[in-house]
This record gives sequence, structure tokens and C-alpha cells, in this order.
Amino acid sequence: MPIFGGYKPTSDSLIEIRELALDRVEVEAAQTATFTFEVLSQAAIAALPSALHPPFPTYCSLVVRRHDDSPFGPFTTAELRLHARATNHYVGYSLGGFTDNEAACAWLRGAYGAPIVVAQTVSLIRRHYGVEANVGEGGRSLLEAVIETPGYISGADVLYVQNSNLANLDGVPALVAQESEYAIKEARRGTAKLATLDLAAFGAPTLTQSNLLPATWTAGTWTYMPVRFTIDPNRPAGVGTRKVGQPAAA
Amino acid sequence: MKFGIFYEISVPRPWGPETERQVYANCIEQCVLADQLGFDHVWAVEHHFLEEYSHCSAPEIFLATVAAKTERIRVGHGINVCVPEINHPIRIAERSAVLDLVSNGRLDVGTGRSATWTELGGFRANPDLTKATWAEIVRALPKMWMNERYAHDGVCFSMPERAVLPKPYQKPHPPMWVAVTSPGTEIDAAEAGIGALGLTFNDFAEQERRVKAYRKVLANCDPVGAINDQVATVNFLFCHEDAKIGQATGLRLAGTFGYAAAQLVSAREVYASPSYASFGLLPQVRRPSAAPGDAPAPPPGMAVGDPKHIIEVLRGWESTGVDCVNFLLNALETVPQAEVLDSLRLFAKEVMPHFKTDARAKAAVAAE
Repeated sequence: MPIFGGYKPTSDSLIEIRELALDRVEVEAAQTATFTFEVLSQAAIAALPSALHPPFPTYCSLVVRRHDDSPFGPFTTAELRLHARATNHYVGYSLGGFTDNEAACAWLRGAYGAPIVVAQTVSLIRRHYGVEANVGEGGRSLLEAVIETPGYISGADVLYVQNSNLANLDGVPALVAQESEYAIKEARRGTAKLATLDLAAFGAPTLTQSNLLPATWTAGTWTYMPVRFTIDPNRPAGVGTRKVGQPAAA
Repeated sequence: MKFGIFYEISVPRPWGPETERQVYANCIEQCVLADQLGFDHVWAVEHHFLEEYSHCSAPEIFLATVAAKTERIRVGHGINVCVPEINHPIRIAERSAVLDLVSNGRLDVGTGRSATWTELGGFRANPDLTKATWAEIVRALPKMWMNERYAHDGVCFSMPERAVLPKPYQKPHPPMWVAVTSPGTEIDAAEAGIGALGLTFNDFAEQERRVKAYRKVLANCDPVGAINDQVATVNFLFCHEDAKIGQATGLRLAGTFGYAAAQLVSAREVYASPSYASFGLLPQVRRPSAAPGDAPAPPPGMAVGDPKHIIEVLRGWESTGVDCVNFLLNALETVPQAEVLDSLRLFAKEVMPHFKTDARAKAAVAAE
């Protein structure tokens, strides 16, 4: 049997879900940069809730998404996820992140349990030499990342894994499935450069970055979907998954 | 229709000092029985670093052991990873020739390129290049075997003129295959004039379409060496007199396999590349599951249940035009060894006679 994560969370200090997302929110002009890197396995296993399996090698993705239009106005997010499996489903367990829009931040936290906070600067900008992602807070840089000389690839080559956010749902901890649909109109891949990545600021103080992979950038539409299911973080996902609107399993 | 058995050699946790040895011993015992029962092939994968899913990193040694303990069954290296960072092509040619010699000409040589980042990244291989390196190596291997001496000046490797030794026992060389997971690789197989070793669970209609496409292209191929025109597919096998027990155990086997496969990091998951359009074995067992708590629907045409049902299913596969079905017998030892062996015996007794081949007919006559 595959091994499980070693983290057994309680509801203390978790983000409180106000109301699970029930509606689709579509963003027509979205850009997404994804930086993927392996992390040393021992700390990664310890950081994963015990509902989830670590894949090997253990790895993270840092996803920076710019929304040029939304019901909350323009906003950009930068989120760090530790990848895992909920039974045989791919999930990105959210460790932490930032956004530059208070209304969007409140929505992502309250409807999906996304562990993000507002920062002074969160940006994703196309430059002549590539794509630049930055996060800054209190005069300090938390992320300086570049996709150098990205070349065209097919949108079909890019795969986005859904978020799994640990939150307080009705007084108990729950992994909330933050799922999306997307249509990619343009996709590129290039060499990743992470000049600065403050892992502690992104909720991963114990992780150690190792093997950095090529990064991707895409443009297209991005739709935030209603929450379909939640998982008890302290039980194997095969028995601890509850579809929204249905009673909890015994 | 030929029948083979196919090994990933998956090893469940916890890993005690005896666990891996016992799993290998179980697999070898199954191979010896399969030889006696009239199965045609034993295939063993080459995988690296795939925790639990496959601890079969040196299949040539496993297959040499099987060959030494059996008389008739063919041994298939399924597959050699044709990526220079993992296997230098000269070493593939040398090891294959030795295995063919010590097995008295019973070797089938599978080729492929790996589908996981776990493996490719572990050897620092570039996923973008594996299709090209496979294509180059698969054309060089027959020449290394057939030519007295061989020189190569290519993109992924080069060598001055040398005699690659020993030469295989089968002439001009052992049958060659390519692992087919991504859609379209069966066409690559046909273009090269080599067998299509199917490793995905297609439905009957899709399999038939692929076999037809393969045969059409094969008729005008540019063969890498001696033509191998066979198409094989993969399936699960659990045969039991009681249909319900057979189905339930077979579904547990398939589910366990899918669960283990889902834990791998595929190349497609982390490395966006046109070179990897498919997840490989995973999607067929994963697709129908809508949420982590849902049981995935079984792949179509699984050879699990009672003999009558399995005969019907295999008739279906036969009608698609495949020449061989290779069976996965276990996953993470979820089926006890005694039940695996009983399943093989029952299959041989009740199912095999409905699918005679020349080799099996001769073996039956010899046994009488």
C-alpha cells in the first residue's frame, strides 16, 4: 500500500470556510506561469496530510496566475503546492501563497479555503526575454522567478492539477477540492530561473528545493468551479471523501 | 492466439528483509508453472526507482533465471529502455545476445523509452528526445547483431567500428517489439517492421482500429531488420470456477494495479512535451473515477471471472486481430500466491484449449 502523509491537522488556526463555492467564476483573460521543482522527500511526506499519498519524487509547483478581468477586478495569485495523490487522483496540496487583491483574497479563502494572504506586489509580466513573476511584501522580495526564452508548445501538452486546500469547514478540518476548467489559447515552455523563493513565506519552512524543471506559461480562459467534494485530512481519501450536499461517511 | 504473462514485479510495503526476495520467488514459481501449462511468453519490464509499482530494474537477470528453470516458454525483455542515459545501445545488444544464447533462442526483445519523470529525471534524460533516441537505437540494434562489425555515427550515440559480441542464437536476430502506450506508437512499430507490444487497456473497437492501422502501414514498412508482424495486448487474469469470486478478485487486482500506477510521476505530469501525449497505463484505470471515494469502473474486456466468461472475452480480443494477450497476474501481492497458481492452472485447463496454436498442439501431443 502506498505510504500516507504524516501531518494530522486539527481545525485550530485553519482558514474558515464561509460558504463553499457554489457557482462557476470564469476569467476570460488569464495567464499562468508554473515553476516545478522536486523537494527532498522526508520533509515533504511529513508535511502532507495523512489522507494523501506522496508521489516519488516528491515535488512542488509554484503557480502564478494573472487574471486581467474578474468579478473582483484584476488580480494575480502566487501559490505553492506540494503534489500528492488522493487515492488515484492527482492533487496539489496548497501550502501558502499571495494575491494583490483583497476582494479576491477573501473569496478564495472563504469559498475554497485557499491559504493565501494579500501582499503588496504580486505580478506576472511578459518581457522581451521571457516571463517574470514577482512577489514582494514589506520591502522584501519573496519571489523572483523568470521563464527564460520560452518557446511555443501545444496547449495540449500542459496539464494543470487541481488544488486541495486544508481549511476549517463547519468546525472540522477538511481538504477542499478547488477544481478548475481551462482552455489554453497559447502555451510556451522555457528554462526556469528562481533567483528568490522564500519557501517559509510560502508556507513550506521545512521543505528543501532540489531539481528544478522547465517552466510553462499559458494564456487562455480559466474557470473556477463549484466545490464538488471535500476530504477528511486524517483518513485515507478512499474512505474520507464526502461529496458536497451528501452526508459524511460513517 | 498466444498467451503470455507480464511482470512489473510490484512489491508492497512494508519492505522487510524477505519481501523483495519472496516476490521474486513467487514470480519465478509462476513462470515455471506457466511453462508447464503451455503459456507462450514471459515478459518482464525494465523500470527504475518506481517504489512499490515495479522493482524490476534488471529484467535480463530475472529472465535468465526463468530461462534456466524452463524448457519452452519464450522470455521477453519488455522493454529495454532505449535512452542512452539509461542503457547504452551497445549494452542492450550485448545483453540481449547473451540472454538469447542461454535461453536457447527463446528471447523476444522489447524496446521503448520510459513514460515517467521518476525514471527519466533520475537519469537526467531529456523527455523531449526519447522518441528520437528510440528511433535511432532500434535501427542500430539489428545491425549490431547481424553485421560482423559495426560502426555508428548518430545523434544519440556513436561508435567506431567494433565487433559487438556475442551474436544472438536466433537468426537473423530475435523478434523485436516496441511498447505501445501513446496513441500512434503502433504506427511507429509498423513503420519499423517490429511487433506492437500493447500496454494499454483499449476497448475492442479501438484495439481493432489500431491493429488495422498497424497492418496497413506494415505492408509498406522500412524494416529495421527481420520483420515481426505480431500485435500483443495486455490484460488482467484471474480465473476461478465461481464467477463472482473470479470477478471480485480480478477487480481487486485491477484496482490495486491502478492505485499503484497512479502514484508514479509521469513525464506528462511535470514536463510539458509533445513527446508524451499519454499517461501510459494509468488513464484506462483512472478515468471513470469522478472523486477519490468513487470506485473506478473496470477497463473493458478484462479476463477475470469464470472460464466461460474469460473465453468470451478472449474471443472478443481475438476478433480485433491481436495475436497475443499478455496477462498481469498480480499487483502488490494482493492475490495470494496459491490463488494465482490455481488461476493459471484453471485457465490452462478450461480456457487455453479453445485457443490452440501450433506450439501448444505440439506440446499437448508431446505430453500425451
